[in-house]
Amino acid sequence: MVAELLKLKLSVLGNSLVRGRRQNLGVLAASLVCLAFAVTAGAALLALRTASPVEARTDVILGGSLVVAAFFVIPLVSGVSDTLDPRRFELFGIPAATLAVWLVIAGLLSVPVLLLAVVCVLAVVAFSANAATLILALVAAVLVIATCVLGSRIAFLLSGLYLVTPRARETGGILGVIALLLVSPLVAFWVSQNWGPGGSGVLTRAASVLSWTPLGAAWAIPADTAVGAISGVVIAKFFVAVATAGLLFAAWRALVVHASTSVERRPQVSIDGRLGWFRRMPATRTGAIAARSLTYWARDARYPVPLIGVFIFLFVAYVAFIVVGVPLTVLILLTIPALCITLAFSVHNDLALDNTAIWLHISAGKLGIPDRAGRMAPILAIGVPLIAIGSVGSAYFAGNYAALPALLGVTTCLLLAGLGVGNVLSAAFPYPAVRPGDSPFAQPQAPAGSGFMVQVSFIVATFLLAAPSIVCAVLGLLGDPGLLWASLWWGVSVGIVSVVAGTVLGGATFDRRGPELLAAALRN
Amino acid sequence: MTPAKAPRKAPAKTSARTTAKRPVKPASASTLTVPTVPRKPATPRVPRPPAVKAIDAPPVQPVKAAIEAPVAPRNLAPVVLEITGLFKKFGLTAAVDGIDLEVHEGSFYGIVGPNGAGKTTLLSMATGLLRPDAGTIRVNGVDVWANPDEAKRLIGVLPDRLRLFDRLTGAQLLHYSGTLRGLGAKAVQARSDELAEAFGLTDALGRLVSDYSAGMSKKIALAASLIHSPRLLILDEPFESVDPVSAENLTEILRKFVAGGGTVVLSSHGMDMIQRVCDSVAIIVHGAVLDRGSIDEVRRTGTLQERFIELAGGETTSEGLEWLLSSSN
Repeated sequence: MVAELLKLKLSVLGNSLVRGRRQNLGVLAASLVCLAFAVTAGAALLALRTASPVEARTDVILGGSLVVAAFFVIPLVSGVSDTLDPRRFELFGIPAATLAVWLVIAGLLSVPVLLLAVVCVLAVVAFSANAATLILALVAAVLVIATCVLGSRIAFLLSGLYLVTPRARETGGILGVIALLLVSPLVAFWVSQNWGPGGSGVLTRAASVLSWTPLGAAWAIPADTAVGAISGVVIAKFFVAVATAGLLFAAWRALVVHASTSVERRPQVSIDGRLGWFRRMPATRTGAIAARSLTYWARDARYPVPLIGVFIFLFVAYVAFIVVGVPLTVLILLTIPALCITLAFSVHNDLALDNTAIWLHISAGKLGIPDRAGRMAPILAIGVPLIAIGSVGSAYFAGNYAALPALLGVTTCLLLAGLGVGNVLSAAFPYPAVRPGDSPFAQPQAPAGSGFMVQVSFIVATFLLAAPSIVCAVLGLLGDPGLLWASLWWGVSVGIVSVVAGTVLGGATFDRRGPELLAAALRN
Repeated sequence: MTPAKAPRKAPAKTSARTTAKRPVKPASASTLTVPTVPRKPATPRVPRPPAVKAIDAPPVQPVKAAIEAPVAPRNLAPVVLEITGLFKKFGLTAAVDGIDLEVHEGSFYGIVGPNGAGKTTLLSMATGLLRPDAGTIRVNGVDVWANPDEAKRLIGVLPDRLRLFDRLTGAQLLHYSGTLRGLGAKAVQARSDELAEAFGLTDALGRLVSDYSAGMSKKIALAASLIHSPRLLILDEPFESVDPVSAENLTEILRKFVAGGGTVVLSSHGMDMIQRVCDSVAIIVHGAVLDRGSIDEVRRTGTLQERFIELAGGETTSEGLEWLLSSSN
């Protein structure tokens, strides 16, 4: 039976090449991308034979973790339907536990897994300097392949079970792009290590953290041994890796059983489910607008996509800075503030995205402040965790915990002051935006450069408000540690005052100019 | 100037007719509305043709005098919507050129006019969505533009050609509209379910509004405009692209609303529909009211369609275009 399944998988693979020219081109392109990754990884691994063991360890763990993460994430967001979905085999009456094992074996036969196997073999070659590392590398390769196959099986099934609607896939794809862009600065740091001064410390530390996680543990087994780590550490990481694979298999089997025994209830949406965020938010005017904004951020690509453009800009800027020779630690400290002002920026023209649907808010009457406050919900939902986790993370990787209060102050101030400024500008000077239903990448039909002044005003006003906090932070980092805390107090107080004042002022403007806002939307 | 414009035309033509017809009217009006619904005894709804007021008040005197001293016995129902000297200019053309209008409580008022006559402009100004250049609009005595928040609570709006928040599901849009109007969670839920049931939308509530057909979008928007139980409904083209069965259903709902003391003002191109559904009508051409009153007063001996074409399209007989006849050869 396993043989049948393998044969089936092979013919599916073969048939993917005979589906017509467009599909062939797609398959070819995807295969070429995979192949390019494999060749790059292979070349890097072979080059490591001559590199120092410490450097090799860092590269193997970081690169390896990225590969394992890709096997978990890409199936979730790619929106490709899975040929080995266990629900397809329901009618054959195979016991679920058996089916789970067979599907994992059949899952080995896929282009990404085969390329992964090649990379693993090259890794084994890279560690072939002595017998111990060679054997451990073989063990690690088996564990890595098992983890990746199980991870992708689980991710495919989860996406099939819970992310099935086409619209969810649309959003999923965009989230994938965002994730990729968020990862790409890390890759850039890593690559830049060769030219950028002082980077390897950060990366070594990152590798050490990852080597204890399910993503990097297996790769760390031979890599740590090659560096000469204590055998206890290596054994502990071995157990992490084995436990990861074991738990993943248990989870996979449970999922297959669940999928084959539960009835699909896709078309029947429960009443609670229909309301979504509206159920979870308080039934007040502000709560309703917050729920609507959160729903739109999830369903309408026009909201998240502009952020991607800014991320790309940041990425390019960072690479340029690194090449010029700005220290990596400085850039790490700048990352979270830059992301915060980017997030706040997305509020500065949010009214225009509603287009003429805004009439509903105008005809409800006196909705200014709830409108301005509610629309901040998605930004705060992303921004607050970003500040909390990102600031601590930046301080850790920069090796500068003393900078943490300043970092928190500046990020909070940029986010809140930006929201305050955006709340006023959006109600006072809306300019044409992409219309509902158009592609988020489309250009609004408006004179080029309309809105440029609004964007510049946003940046200037936000930075002016954040200036006290930023100045204290910079002076503090340059030598007066007492000012680092001053930066926090300035940042938080100015931020809170700005966001409250901006919301009230923006709300009053909205109430006063409601009909003019609708007229502006009608011209768009 | 403008306030007197329409009445000046009307009195000579209509006064004799209306006085002659007076005894007949209550009966004819009640056949237009649904007889099955019990009417509130406190407000015996008798449609009042506003044009008649010109009889009591000479043209030089503003319409207000007529309201303060209602001599005519049919003026019992209070005025819900009062528009005075309304004026709006877009560029050089006056879209609404001095309109006066009065709509009494419990009436079903139709506004008809050719394309570009200013119907949407008029209704947008009445609902507080478009700022007028001059003139006042009062709803239950509250000035819509001086005191918008209080006035807007009384009005339910269905605009034409404005978008909806269509990335929400039907249920979410109803919930959203209700909550924005200040209703609590329980009331919103109960009313949403009832409205969806009444409009036949229950099965579609879980779908995104962007996936609805044009007619269904109209229905969900109309349901959303009713959720806060307004006293006055202002509907711009409510029957456009709605199928005949649904249109009948909507009409039934609106009649119930009127029977409960509500007031409906709607615009439409469909003369048959207006004649069947409404008890009063105003014909607007080039931003001015050419005739108004009860349906019977306005249509005279013919149909409303004939009267409308006589007023609106008289001068455009299709000359030219002879080449159309020989085009097939």
